[in-house]
Amino acid sequence: MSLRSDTSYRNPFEDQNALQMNPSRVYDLYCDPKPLLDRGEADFFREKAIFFEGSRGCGKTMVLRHLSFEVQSIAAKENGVRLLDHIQAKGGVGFYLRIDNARLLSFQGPKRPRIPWARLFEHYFELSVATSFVQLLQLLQSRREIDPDDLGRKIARSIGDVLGTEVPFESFQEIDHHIFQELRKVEDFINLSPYREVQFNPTRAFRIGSLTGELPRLICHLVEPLADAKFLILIDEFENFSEAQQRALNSLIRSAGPNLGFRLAMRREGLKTLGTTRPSETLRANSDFRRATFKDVLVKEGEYRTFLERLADKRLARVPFFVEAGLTSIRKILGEEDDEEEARRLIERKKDKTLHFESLKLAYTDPEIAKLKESLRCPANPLLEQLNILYLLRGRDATEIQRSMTEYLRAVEAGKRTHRGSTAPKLDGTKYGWDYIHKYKLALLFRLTFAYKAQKEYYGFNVFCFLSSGIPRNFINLCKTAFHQAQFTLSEEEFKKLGTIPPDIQAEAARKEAEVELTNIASIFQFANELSWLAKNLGTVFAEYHRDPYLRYPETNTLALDPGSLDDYNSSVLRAAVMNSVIQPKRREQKSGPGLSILPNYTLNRLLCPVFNISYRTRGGILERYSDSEFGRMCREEGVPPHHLPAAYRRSARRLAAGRPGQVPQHGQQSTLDDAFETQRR
Amino acid sequence: MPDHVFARIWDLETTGRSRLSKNYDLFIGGCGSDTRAYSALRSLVKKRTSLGEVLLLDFAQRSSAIVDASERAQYDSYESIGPRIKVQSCSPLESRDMRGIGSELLGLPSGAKVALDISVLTKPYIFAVMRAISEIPGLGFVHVLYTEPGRYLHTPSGTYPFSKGPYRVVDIPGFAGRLSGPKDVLLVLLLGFEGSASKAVFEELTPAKVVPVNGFPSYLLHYKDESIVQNDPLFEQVAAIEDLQFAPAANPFETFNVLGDLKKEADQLQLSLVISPIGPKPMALGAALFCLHHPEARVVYPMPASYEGKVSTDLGKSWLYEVEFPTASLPGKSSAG
Repeated sequence: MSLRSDTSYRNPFEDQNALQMNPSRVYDLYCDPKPLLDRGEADFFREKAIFFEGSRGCGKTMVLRHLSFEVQSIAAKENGVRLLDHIQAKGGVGFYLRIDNARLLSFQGPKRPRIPWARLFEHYFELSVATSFVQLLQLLQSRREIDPDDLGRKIARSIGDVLGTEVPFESFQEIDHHIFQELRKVEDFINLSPYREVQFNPTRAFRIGSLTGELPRLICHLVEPLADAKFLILIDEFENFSEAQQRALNSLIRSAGPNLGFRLAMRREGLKTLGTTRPSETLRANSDFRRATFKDVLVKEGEYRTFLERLADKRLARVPFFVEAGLTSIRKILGEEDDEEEARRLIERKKDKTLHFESLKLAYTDPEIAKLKESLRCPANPLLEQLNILYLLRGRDATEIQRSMTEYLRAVEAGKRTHRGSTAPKLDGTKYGWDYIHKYKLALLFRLTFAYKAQKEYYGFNVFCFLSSGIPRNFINLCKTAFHQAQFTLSEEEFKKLGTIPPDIQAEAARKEAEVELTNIASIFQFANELSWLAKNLGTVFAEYHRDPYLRYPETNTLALDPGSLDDYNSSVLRAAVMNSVIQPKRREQKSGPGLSILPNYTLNRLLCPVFNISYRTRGGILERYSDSEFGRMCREEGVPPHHLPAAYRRSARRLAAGRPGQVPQHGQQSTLDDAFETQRR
Repeated sequence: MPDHVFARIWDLETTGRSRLSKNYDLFIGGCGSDTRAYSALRSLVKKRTSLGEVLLLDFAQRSSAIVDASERAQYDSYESIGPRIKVQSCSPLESRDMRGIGSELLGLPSGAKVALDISVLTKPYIFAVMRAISEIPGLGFVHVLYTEPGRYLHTPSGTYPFSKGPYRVVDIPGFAGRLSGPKDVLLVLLLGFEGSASKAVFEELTPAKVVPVNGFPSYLLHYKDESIVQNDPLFEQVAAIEDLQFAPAANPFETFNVLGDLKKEADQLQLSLVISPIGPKPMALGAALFCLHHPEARVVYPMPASYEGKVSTDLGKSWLYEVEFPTASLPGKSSAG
């Protein structure tokens, strides 16, 4: 029976967008993002203003929605306390507001005089927030935490005064209706003004802060348990606000009283201005607001993995199929990567199981290679064979290599520690083990895949964590696709029996997600072409390093760039690339190579790694460093070749990759390629 | 406000001929280099129909995309058709001020006869012109003409690049819907051949529910299911194939009726209805008519960076739609406030 027919089966990762979840689902799946941010949930309720910045899918919306009164009311219920008491204990509660970009653009209507669009937006914004206040009050009333005939009426009348109505309100429903009517006037104006002259006649026009500033003060004054509470305006996708709209909000933040707070979520580089509506006034970091940046690729690996594990396990625990089968650990279901096993699988599938020895043609004749194959084979572990090839290409003696490998294998068999660090030039079993385990293992696997024109399999919990590139939604998407693939490949019994998703299914999912990510870059509104080429060119350059038979700079996947050196255009492209997580900045600046200055570092979004067959982890070593003009070329079709690989080598490597080796030098003679390599090393 | 309407649709080659008026106070169409661009206008002129004024909308992004001389000649061929033609340049990307068109229409006498050829109008302008027409006092009905393409041009890989560049999703002016309605959205995607367009809309709105509507039957048999194929990423990632609905590609009234049913569903689920008219123009016409009756429905459109000059060739069937404007009952006629 297929998993599809099992009614208790549901893909636990189906809903990956916090915007589409109902409040109880948000409550169920929320995890404190402390590992991704400097501070955690406890601070979110009490501070004045926090600007959450991060990539798409990093969890900003989840945080904001968690702070909203809709979700907090569920938390109160679950804890068996009154919502008022819950808010008092937490220190505050929020109103979630997301105005989509199309809607925001509607408030930048025809450029005609006498239509103050910015003022109209302020009016709309104030009414929208007021609606949320009323909804909270209605909820409190429905839970009998506010008496409609006493306190409720008192609040309603006070709000009526603020709204400027002639007849006093007696209930929250009346306020709700009034605001609804006022919003209708805004709608009608927006809809009719493109076609004809139309008057806008609100009961009272609200400037920014006239309701959002007044309502918290009023409620805190009248509702005793909320005397010290902070009402949080939670604005999502703040990057879509125009500069004028951001200024209006900044003014509100600047002038907010003690009962009003702000949590603004935006992409990196999404803040267009710190200015306010007053020319001389700007927001001051750490005084008016705190920046909380979701740490993309820089999160401490252990903490980040634990966070993802918790996030995924929560989802598994909510699907009966997985609970009944005892499959509630994502770590177990995805398992651990095993490079040696993968290498064996790769070779097993191939007819010619010694194809990787072909690269020896760079330094040896065919009869010599045949002889070397005999002495340096290790079919049980093709990665060791690949290491032997590397040693040979680097000029090591075959006998020395064979002896070291034997020593290493004996030590492994005897269960001895085999990989202590060694700087000694002499190759022995210990150095062999060190090089293998700590320096080259993964790089050798990549090299092997290139030799066989195969794809690296990206699978396993740790690898998925790496591929997610610090963005939890990437991890959820990877899991979603892996579970989806499993659903159509495995039977229910098979899945339960295995208790894990096989590597090939996971790898297929990773590749699919990577391709989707690359396709999505082409639909980014600004600089789509430039960003597509940047991703493709960078991926191709990094792949060249992975293909290098000499493995001079293993697993190179980072670039260094001085944003200050870029012209305006390239600078905008770089900002767009970071904003859309095509490349991700690393927090710590680093030297791009020996003797080179320290520069900001960026990695290609790791989710793209399967497209280019490159490494998902960061290793020290050389970085690709681009000048302004080179960066410009990387954003166009032409690209820039890898800086640290000799051009002559690159041509040969491509010939090898295409199965057309170039002229092979005689053993003992330095080839031009080796010359180039030696020059490079010196 | 009707949720359903009866189809008033005629084949112009047969029964539709006799339905056409002998005179129109205003004919509105679009400039284009597709074979069908001026087909209806030529046909009316050939029949010696009296045309008071002819207004052609010249879309800057489409015109500037033409590089081929023969395409340019075809684009400019309206000059040789005959009647006095007024060309108004406009831009779908900057369609927020429609008063230019509105003034042409508002000058018309009560009960004026208007013919609108939507064959090569951009979809945002189908909505805009319909909205502007609805402002004409005492207008009973409008004859909307549509000529199907003989075939669409496509790339060797089987995609249909009608537009270029990434999309910016915008509200169509005059169809911004309710600001005061439910926050969660039921998104109706009138599917077209550009799959990335639907995806852009989905990502902008992140709706609670998506209902794709496929134009079926299609204009021609070989376009059957093409929209579904081209929107494969949408179905793979976000939309359920079980939710797929159908409305004939050439029948705006059926689109109106499907939207009527979906409106009820949205109301039941307490969702805001948002429509994105990406597919066939008659379906966009149906959506425009529906939204004029139901101003609470919002219309969003994935605006491309630019349009292709020529997207189809040859001539297919021609249709006449008699669209009624019960102006007295149309909402949104009073001043705001």
